[in-house]
Amino acid sequence: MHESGVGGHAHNRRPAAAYLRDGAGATLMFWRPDLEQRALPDAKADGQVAVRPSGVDNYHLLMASRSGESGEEVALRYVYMHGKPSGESPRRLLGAHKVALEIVPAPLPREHWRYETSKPAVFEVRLSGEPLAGQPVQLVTTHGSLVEGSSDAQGRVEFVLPEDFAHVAPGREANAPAEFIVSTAHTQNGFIRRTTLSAEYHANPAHWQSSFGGVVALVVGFVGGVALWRRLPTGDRA
Amino acid sequence: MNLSIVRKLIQLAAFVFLVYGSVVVGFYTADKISGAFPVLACAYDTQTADYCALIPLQHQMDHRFGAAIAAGTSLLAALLPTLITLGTFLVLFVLLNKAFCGWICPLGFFQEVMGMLGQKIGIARAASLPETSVRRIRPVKWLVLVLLVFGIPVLAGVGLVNHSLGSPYCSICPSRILTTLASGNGSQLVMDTSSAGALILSLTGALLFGLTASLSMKMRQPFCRVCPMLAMHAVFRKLGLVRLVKNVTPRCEKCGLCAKACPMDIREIHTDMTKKDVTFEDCTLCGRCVEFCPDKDVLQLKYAFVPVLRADPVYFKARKKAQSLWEAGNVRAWWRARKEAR
Repeated sequence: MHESGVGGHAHNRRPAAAYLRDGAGATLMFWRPDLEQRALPDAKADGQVAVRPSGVDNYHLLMASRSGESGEEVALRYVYMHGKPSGESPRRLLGAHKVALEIVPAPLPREHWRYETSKPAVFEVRLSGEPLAGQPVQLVTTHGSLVEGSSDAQGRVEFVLPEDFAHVAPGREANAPAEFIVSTAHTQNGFIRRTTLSAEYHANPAHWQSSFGGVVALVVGFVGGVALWRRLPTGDRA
Repeated sequence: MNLSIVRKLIQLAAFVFLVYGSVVVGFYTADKISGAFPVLACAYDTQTADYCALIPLQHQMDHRFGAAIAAGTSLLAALLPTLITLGTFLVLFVLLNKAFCGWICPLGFFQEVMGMLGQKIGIARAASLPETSVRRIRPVKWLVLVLLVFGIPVLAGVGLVNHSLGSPYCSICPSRILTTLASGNGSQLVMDTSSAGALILSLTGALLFGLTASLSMKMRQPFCRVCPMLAMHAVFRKLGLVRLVKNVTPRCEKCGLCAKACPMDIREIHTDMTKKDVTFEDCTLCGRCVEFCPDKDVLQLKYAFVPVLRADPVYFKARKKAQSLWEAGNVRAWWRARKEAR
């Protein structure tokens, strides 16, 4: 599941367009930050899902699920929406038991902190609301990378997002974000549960930012300040 | 225990809360409390427990107000979030007035710590800046507020300047570098080469941080004098509950210790013989002038109508002695004494 036209500081309140791939027969649910839920109309033929804004801000959850006799498939997508203050912390939505096998971002991105290449992204795998240890998890990106991992005793798994933007232009806005999908599968008494969580990630700013240059400028400023000491007045002061 | 020590303990607690507070109150709390804090607490610090009003104001000017001008849509509707931010700022501000600068701001505390470090090394504190210099510096904070917090972000929203200049004040704010470095994040101390504007702003930010750090070792509160938050506070200062009050006596004309004690070099505390409320636009309500006033009740720090601290000759003597002792104990003096002993 992925979004279009959302990200950065886009504060529009137009319906968000989300897309569901291979989602035939899936039931779509929309969760508000206060855990109120509503069913969404089925996805269109091209996978587009119309999501009407809730009118409140903060993270919402789009959940697509379908199940049969042999298993259950779930796709999760956390969507930030603008509106009146919801008065809720994302912790409430993240902590709620929504589906048997769940992948939970730990944490979700917030202002000035987003998923970027070469930086760690942490997720928690839960089964029936409890951390699931030793669970194989994989992360694939729309740029074709695959990273595999396994959850620890607390159900947490950390991936360093692959440096897989083929061409990086200077500046965040010059680089369209890519998508990653974290997925895991668990079998219990022959019943297979598959869950995916998708989100967007960005090119690492280190491509157009130099820490060395920043440190040099800081040192120049510091030395410049010391040079100014002599020009400051001397004498008594309380 | 004097007021300066109490103030520094409160500043330390505020610094820990504003730089590392999310460890206690949770990662998402900064997005929730207000986003309109009346101090330079940085949204770029992911461990902060709250952040300052300047970042939402710049975003609102860029993404809402500027964008509404460009699109020809309702300006009043575009200004509504700004009014909410300013309203929240005001509610918080009424509680402490400009004391948010002198008691809570992490960058203010950092400058004081650097000053203490300078004193302990043995760097002699500079005297008050000449009046002409003070008068020249004072308008800078208004220029920074009008141009960097409101003007350029609006131009970015309209499309007249590059969108990378949408939050120009944050790009040069030394608190952005200070608080992120303090939380172990070096991503804000960079030279950004994505555009000419970003390059200039990022270099200016790093230079300004270095300059603030070294100047603080010699003079008091160098950055506070040009801080746009000080200007924002000045706009609303008549509404805050904390006040600096002066009961003029004939002895005031000859004394002037209050002005010498003032970290912001506000001579008017001494020279103004008419005003009772002497919370001037540059005042940070640190209370040093009250501490160093030798005449009973002449200067008072009041919360609403209740005096928090009154000038007192006994307190003054003890405070002056404590200051002399503090200044005498430094590395240079110790080294000199050691050499003489040989």
